[in-house]
Amino acid sequence: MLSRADWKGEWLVTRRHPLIWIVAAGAIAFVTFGVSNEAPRSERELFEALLRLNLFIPVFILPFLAGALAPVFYLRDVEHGMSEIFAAYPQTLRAWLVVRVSSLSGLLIGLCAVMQLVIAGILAEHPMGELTMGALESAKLMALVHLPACLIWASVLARFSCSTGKASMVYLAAGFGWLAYVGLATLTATPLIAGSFVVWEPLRSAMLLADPYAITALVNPPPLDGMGYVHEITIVTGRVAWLVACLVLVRGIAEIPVFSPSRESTASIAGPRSGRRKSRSHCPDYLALLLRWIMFDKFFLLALIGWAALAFPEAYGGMSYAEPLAVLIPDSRDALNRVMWDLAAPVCTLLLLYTADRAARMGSITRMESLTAATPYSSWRFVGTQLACLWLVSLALLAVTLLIVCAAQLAALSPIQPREYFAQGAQILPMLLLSATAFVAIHSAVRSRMAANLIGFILLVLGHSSLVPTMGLTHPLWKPFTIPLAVPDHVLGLDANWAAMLHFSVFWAAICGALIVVAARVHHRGLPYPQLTLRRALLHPALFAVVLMLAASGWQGLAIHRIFVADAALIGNDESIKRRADYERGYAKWQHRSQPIVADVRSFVDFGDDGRSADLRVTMVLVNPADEPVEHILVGRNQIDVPGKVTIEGGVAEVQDAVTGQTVFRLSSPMQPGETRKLRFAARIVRSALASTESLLILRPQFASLPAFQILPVIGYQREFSPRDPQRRAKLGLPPLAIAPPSRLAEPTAGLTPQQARFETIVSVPGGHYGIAPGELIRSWSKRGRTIFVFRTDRAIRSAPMFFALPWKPQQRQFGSVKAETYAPRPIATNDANLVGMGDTLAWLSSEVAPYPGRSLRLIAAPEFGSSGFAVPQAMLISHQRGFRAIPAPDAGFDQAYRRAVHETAHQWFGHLIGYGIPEERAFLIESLAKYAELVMVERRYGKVAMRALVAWEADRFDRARLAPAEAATPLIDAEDSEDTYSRATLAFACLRTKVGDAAIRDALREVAAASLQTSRPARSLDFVQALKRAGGKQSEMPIDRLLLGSLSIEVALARSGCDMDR
Amino acid sequence: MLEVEDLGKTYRGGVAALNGIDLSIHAGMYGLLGPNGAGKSTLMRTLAAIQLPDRGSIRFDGIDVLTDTVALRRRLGYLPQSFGAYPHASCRSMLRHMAVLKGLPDDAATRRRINELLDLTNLTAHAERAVTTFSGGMRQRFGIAQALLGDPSLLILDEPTAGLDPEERIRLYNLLSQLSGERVVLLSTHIVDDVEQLCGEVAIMQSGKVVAKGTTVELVAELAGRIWESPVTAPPGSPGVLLSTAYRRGVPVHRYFAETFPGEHFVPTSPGLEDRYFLELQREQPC
Repeated sequence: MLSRADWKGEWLVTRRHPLIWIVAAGAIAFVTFGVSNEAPRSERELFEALLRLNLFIPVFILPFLAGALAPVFYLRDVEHGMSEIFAAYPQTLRAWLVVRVSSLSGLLIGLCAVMQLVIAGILAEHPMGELTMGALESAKLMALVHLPACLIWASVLARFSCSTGKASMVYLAAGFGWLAYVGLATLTATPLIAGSFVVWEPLRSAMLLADPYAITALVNPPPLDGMGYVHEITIVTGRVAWLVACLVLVRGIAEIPVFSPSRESTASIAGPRSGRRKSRSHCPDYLALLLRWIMFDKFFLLALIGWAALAFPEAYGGMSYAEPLAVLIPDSRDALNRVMWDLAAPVCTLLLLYTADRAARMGSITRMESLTAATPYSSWRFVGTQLACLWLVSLALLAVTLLIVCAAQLAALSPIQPREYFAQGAQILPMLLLSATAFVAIHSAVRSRMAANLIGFILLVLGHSSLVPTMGLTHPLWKPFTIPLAVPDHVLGLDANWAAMLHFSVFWAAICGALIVVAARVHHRGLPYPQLTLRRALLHPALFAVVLMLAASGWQGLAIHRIFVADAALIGNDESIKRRADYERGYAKWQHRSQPIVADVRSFVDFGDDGRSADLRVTMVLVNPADEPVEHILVGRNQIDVPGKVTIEGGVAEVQDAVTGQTVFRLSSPMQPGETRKLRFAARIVRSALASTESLLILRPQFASLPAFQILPVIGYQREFSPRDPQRRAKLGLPPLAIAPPSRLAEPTAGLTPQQARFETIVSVPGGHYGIAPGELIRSWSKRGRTIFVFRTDRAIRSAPMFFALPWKPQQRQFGSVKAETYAPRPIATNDANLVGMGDTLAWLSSEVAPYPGRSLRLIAAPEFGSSGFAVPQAMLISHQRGFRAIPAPDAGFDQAYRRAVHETAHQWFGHLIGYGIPEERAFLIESLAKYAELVMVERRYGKVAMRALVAWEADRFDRARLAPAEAATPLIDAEDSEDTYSRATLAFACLRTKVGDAAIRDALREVAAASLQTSRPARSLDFVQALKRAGGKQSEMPIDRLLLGSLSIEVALARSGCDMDR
Repeated sequence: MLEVEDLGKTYRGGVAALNGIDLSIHAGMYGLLGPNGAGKSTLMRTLAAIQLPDRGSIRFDGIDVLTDTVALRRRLGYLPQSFGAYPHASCRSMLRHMAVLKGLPDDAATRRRINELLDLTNLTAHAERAVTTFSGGMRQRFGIAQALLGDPSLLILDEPTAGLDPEERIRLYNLLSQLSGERVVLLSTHIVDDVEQLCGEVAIMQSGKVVAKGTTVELVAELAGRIWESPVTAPPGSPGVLLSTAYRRGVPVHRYFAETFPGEHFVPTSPGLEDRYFLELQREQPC
């Protein structure tokens, strides 16, 4: 009969185990960190944050907690050689199981409760936080999610512990459990996992019941057909089913042959089955022994099988994935990209950490440490051999990974390019070797096995997770023993990675070398005692080598740092916002002072032969549009900070603020109304090979783009540079920003003129390249190995210039009066979806809304720059991968490439004709109207079925982006979240098309565009809404108000508007 | 010759495992006696240069053991109190592996020497079995075989007879006696009889200190005429210190150390090393 004393005794023993306190502290710190990054702006977001963080616990924290703690509860007798003693005690197996399983469950539940308290407590401090709401929601989640999840993990790991008797198998089980769930969640579109999608609807349906954490059921809203009660029953039924399964699992432990907790355990220690196999090895070499020790390890072999089980489906199923509803015809780069960068590096590093532990602790694990330590085999040789062993294991892991991908390619009948395998393998290998070296050094120097593994694990997490950047540490050297390599695409390739590899390899190799020397000096030889006094360690000549290597590393680190400073890559978000706050504090008063505007921009852009630099010389003609003279001009730094020189005709720099990048020029003679002055700007922009290409500024030999609209100096105070988030503003001590949302925005007083300019650009590019700038190509010629292109705009256009130097000859096609130029690595067919989309949209919008403001439009295949598409006046960038390589998936109802081309082309109207000039406006006039264009164009080109497929996809995207899609929302024209401005807007316009009609929408667009062109006054979202109401008539007002101005959830808004979107 | 001066080691928590140990050990068998916790194993590990002392010095044949550990290890054979084995290696391959670690060439001479050691330790029949499958005695013999690899001039054996049956124990002692001619064999045990039979010199440790040392004969001879035994305990107030109580064929035998006749029923008896051992432990006990 069990008594309270049994649990008390259990707690008295386990509470002394440091691991319990370490993992508890780690979990709480992790959650605290996670919740501190939440900045909900509304009650809905607050609720979502609470739900998201709670669901994060079972998915991403609980498996690790359970895995780490299970051996403490189930295997401590085995691990400490006490199993025989306890076997003789009069405790039944059932009592043993009850005490241990309930104790572990209790501890896990307690930790979950503490984490919940932390989450609810921190969120309750939020202005919109409400403790009662947090407490009620937390209690519900505890009952439905955490409590069952803790019982499931405790039961499953009890079974594993008793079946195997090995802690390593328990860790493996927990790891597999975690991966399996994440895999399932990815395939069933759990919003917690970025990029997840439903691969098979029956699987998602099954997960509604079978999800061990009930997350699938919780995040999928109940149907609105009066069967809502089924939702709750589904969740409860699933919980009950899992708990019954756990009971069966735990009861089954008694059925395990020859099991009693202690007897089984004893067998594991005293007579490992593998040891009974007759070993005939006669190789006395220590390296061979180490390799055999690692390779014959069951856990290692199982981990390799697990790795294959994880990597093969990822490579096989993912190599052809381009985006939802679009596939690639994959090659080796596609297949390798799925595995090598995000998966192989961390998984192989984790395996190396385990291997380092096995190699360094072979003596102590086999209790031979005293024998080997007393031999004259030097510590250098011990460490060196372990290092050689780990390097060989690194090679083996890499080879296995490449073989897995190769097998996946063979199975998918995809062409194999051995060179790509060699190149990607060669780029990953140094990282593995560096990690292996660091782990060997740590295990050799740190006597405590737990401490060494903890250090190694922390390094691994810092190096291979997003924790470091999330903590605000943007410098890549904060990620230990890793090299920031870019996933190669089919435009930029792998070339740039070699430079990063060299720079970072030298830096980390020097540190690793120093670590190895230190480790060899203080090597514990497998013993729990130090082998060297501090004095002797410090006096040894090896210390000189350590200092030298650290100095070399420091020197190299400084060189890397300088490169990143020059690339302006170290300014994190916090720093950037702080600068913007300083800017507002110092210069907000300038917004009421008359300032000149830019009327003409004459540029000379010289893209360097090396492909990594560009010289920019710009003359901006300033005009004083006010009716009073201007004595001082504020010239400021733009979004991209480049070192440049600004001069103003007749002006002297009176104040120069290096921190915010502002210069106040005093004019020797004030600018009279209508008078012009010239501002000259010269800058040399250099981007190293280490610079990220995930921005619009890319300087590479294969592709060069210079977003001048983010580089050219700005005149006067820029309101849009002010930080907007109310909480951040409060933290930075800025007064609340009185910005009216677009739905309450008054008519603008200023015109569009300050945002428009005429452009004349000379682009000089290396021979064989083609230059691009806003306007029409006037002429081009070649001289001394360079080609010069001259562009000029017919009239003033939106001032968002961007220059390019591309190695691809443009393909030209005429769409009416507009010449379309396509720049892509390979020629594209005349029926290419991009061209068709571009032509259709040009024709439709030109005829129905407003003439296209120019004579040419350029479509550019871009590398993976962080977005799938981007449009500037007269040019648009479309991801080469998604726009040019991808084709529609067999089950796709529409063509993503066509849709994207339509969207980006539509921005020539929605974004560059209307939709700019008012900082308070949000994305409705730009993105939401472009989504409307998609609906019309897809229907016209492919029919209603395709249009409905597009609507269904956007509906699915919206549901997945929102944990609580049924909650109230901000009015669509005020929305800022992308799921609103894109997906919700698609649903709203699909409904409006049926209720108001395309003709009314077209008339409204035409009216707004015409007004903007005629009056040069920027359009508001409200202008469009009012125009739409006028065009649609009285009966259309209700759905327009509900869908564009209302705060109802989109589901309810659609239902009340009478729109059935098949959701 | 092994010379130890003022050796000290204090563990965290303030336990002084070694407290000013001074020893001078010549070729031959040297016994180290002491109860559990006396510091014998710490001393053995320190002499084998696998644990650092806090203070003191150790020299072996001119080698400063604390600074030139590798030089010592080249001449060292060490058998710890307990040890394990790699699970995937046979006894013979383990010995070959250990030979390599000891710096012996992996050649025919070494293999011949391994065969001899297998013979010597009666393991030839089991040479191809994994050491992890050995019984306690067999494993101990393997430990002795590995310690003898490389013909060491310093043999440190910590409880070498633990787990051995009587026959194996005698066989081992005979072997050690043969080996001890030109080399230092340091034997740690708490079986006093073994030391008395085997070792010419002995040191008795208690609470980290050497409380008595010298030749076995001298240490015993100093007690001549002062050891008494009786089936009953001495009356209160009688002179003498009770050294031990044992039962001999069911009859209690109390052995006393006393300068003068302790009383009725007592008879003088010849002293042994065990008497000296118990006497030293009694002396060190706090009053």
